[in-house]
Amino acid sequence: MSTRAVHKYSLLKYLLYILPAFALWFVLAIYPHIAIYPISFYKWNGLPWGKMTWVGLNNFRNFFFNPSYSRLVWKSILYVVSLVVIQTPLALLVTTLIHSMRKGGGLFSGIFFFPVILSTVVVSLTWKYMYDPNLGSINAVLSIVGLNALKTNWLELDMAPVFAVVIHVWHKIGYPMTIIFAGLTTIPDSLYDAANVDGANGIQKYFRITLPLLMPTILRILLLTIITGGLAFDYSYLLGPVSTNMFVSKVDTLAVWVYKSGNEGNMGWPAAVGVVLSIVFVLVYIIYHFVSKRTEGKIS
Amino acid sequence: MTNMRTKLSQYANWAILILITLFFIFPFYFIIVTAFKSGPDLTLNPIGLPTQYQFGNFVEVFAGTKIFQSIVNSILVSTGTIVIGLIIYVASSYGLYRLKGTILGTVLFSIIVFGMMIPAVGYWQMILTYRKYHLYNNLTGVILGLVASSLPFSTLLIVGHLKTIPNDLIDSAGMDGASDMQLLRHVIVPLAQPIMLTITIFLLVESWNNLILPLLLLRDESLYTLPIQLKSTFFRQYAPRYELFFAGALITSMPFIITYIFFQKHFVYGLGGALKE
Repeated sequence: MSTRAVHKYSLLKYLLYILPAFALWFVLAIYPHIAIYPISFYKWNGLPWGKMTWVGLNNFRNFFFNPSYSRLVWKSILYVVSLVVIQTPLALLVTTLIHSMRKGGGLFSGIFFFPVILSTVVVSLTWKYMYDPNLGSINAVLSIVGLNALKTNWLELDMAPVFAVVIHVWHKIGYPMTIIFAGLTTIPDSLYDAANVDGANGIQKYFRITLPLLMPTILRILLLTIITGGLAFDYSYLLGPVSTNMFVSKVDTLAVWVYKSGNEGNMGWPAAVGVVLSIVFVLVYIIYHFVSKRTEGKIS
Repeated sequence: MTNMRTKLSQYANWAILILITLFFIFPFYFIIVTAFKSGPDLTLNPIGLPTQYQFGNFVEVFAGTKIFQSIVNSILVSTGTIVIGLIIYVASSYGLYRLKGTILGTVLFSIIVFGMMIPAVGYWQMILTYRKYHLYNNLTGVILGLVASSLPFSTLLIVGHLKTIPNDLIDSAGMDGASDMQLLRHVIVPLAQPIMLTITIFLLVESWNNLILPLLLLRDESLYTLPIQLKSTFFRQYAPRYELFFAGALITSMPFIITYIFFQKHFVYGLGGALKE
C-alpha cells in the first residue's frame, strides 16, 4: 500500500519535469495549428473581434473548384512529386557511389552535406540570382554554349515550382544521404561475398541485394519527403517577390499562399488548407505504416 | 581480371561523382564572385570573374544598413534558444525516461509523436496566440517559438540516448540516496554530453537560419534576425542589390563555414544522424 503511494508520488514528480516543456510546446507549437480546424467551417476576417459566419463546407468547395485556388493545389502536388522524383534517386546514386569508394568518400559527403548549414535565404536568393532572366548565370551559360532557344524567364513558367525543388534538393540532400548511409551499413557484407562467388556483377548486386534491403530506408525517406514537400514554404516564398506580400507568383505553393492569405479577407480558406493537409498526412502515414510492415515481412 | 574490373569501376565512380559535385559547387562560385563585383559589372558580366574587385561592397553592407544590429539579434536568439532549449529538453527527457513503461509515459510519448504530424500552417493563429502572451514583436517570442518547435525531435533524441545508459548505474545512484538533482548533475548530464553537443549544433543552425518564425513575429526592423534583414535590406522593390546581398551573405555565413570545416563530423551527425532515430 505504502509503496504504491510512493510510486504515485514519484509519477507526479516526474510529470513536473516534463510539464514546463510540454506546456510551452503545446501552447506555442501545437495549439495554433489545431485551433484552425474549427475555423475552416467559418467565414472570418481574422480579427479577434470579427464576426464568424458559419459556411459549412464552402471554404473547401471554393478551394478545390475555384480555378485561382485549385491552381495552388496543383502547384503543391507538382512540388511534392518533383521533390520525390529528383531527390530520392539522386541521393541514392550519390550515396552508393560514395559508399563503394575505398577512399575520398568523406570529402565528397562533406561537400554534399555542406549547403545544409546555410540559411534558406542565402541559398534561395543565390539561386534566384542564377535564374534571373537578365542577370542570371543560367541564361548566360546557355547563350555561351549556343542554346539560345532554351533561354527563358524560368520563374514565370507554369512548372516554376520544379525550380524551387531544385534549390530544395541542392540545399537539403545531406539529410536523405545520411539516412541512406545508415541503411547501407546494416547490410551484411556476407551477402555481397556470396554474390561474388556466384559471379554477379555490380549492377546485379545493386538491384538484387542493395536496393531490396534498403527498401525500409527508402520508404522512410519517402514519408519524410512528402511531409516536408507538402509544407514547403521557404524556397517558393523567397523565389517570389519578397519585398511585398501582395502578389501571387507562379512559384507559390499552398504554404506560401497561406502566409499571403491575409489579403484575402477570409481566414477560413487558409484554415481549410490546414485541415486538408492534416488529412493527407494522416493518410500518407497510414499507407507508410502498412507498406513498411509488408516489406519488412518480405525481407525477414 | 576482376582486379582490373573493380579498378575501372572505381574510376567510373570517381568520374560520375566529380560531375555531380561540379553541379553542386557551381552556386558557390557565384556567391563568392558576385560579392566582389560592382553593380554595372554584375549586369554586363554575369558569369566571369570581376573586372575590378570591389572590396567596398563589404563596407557598404554595414554602412547605412541595420545588418550589425541583426547580427547582434541573431546571436541573442541563438544563445537564448540553445540555453533554454538544453535545460528544458534535458529536464523533460529525464522525466520521460523515468516514466517509461508507465501508462502516463506511453501517453505522453504518443502525444509527441502525433504532434509531429500536425502540419504547421496556422500562421495567423500563431500571430494571435503569441500576441496574447506578449511574445509578438520581441526576440523572446522567437526564442520560445524555436525552443517549442524543436522539442519533439530533441526530446526523442535524448530519451533514445538515455535508454542506452545501463539501469544499474541509475539504480545504484538511487540506492546511495542521490536526489534527482544530484542524479541529473552527476550521472545523466555527463553521460548525455555527446547528444547535447549534437542538439546544440542542431539548435544553432536552426535558430541562426530560421525564416518563418521571425517573418511572422517580428515587425520592427531593429529586431530583425539575419535572414530577414538580408532579404529585406537588399531586395527592396524593383532594385535588388545582389552584389551587396552576396557580400552580406558571405560575411554572415563565414563563422559557420569555418566551424563546419573543423567540426564536419559533428555537424553531419548533429543535423543528419539524428534523423535516423
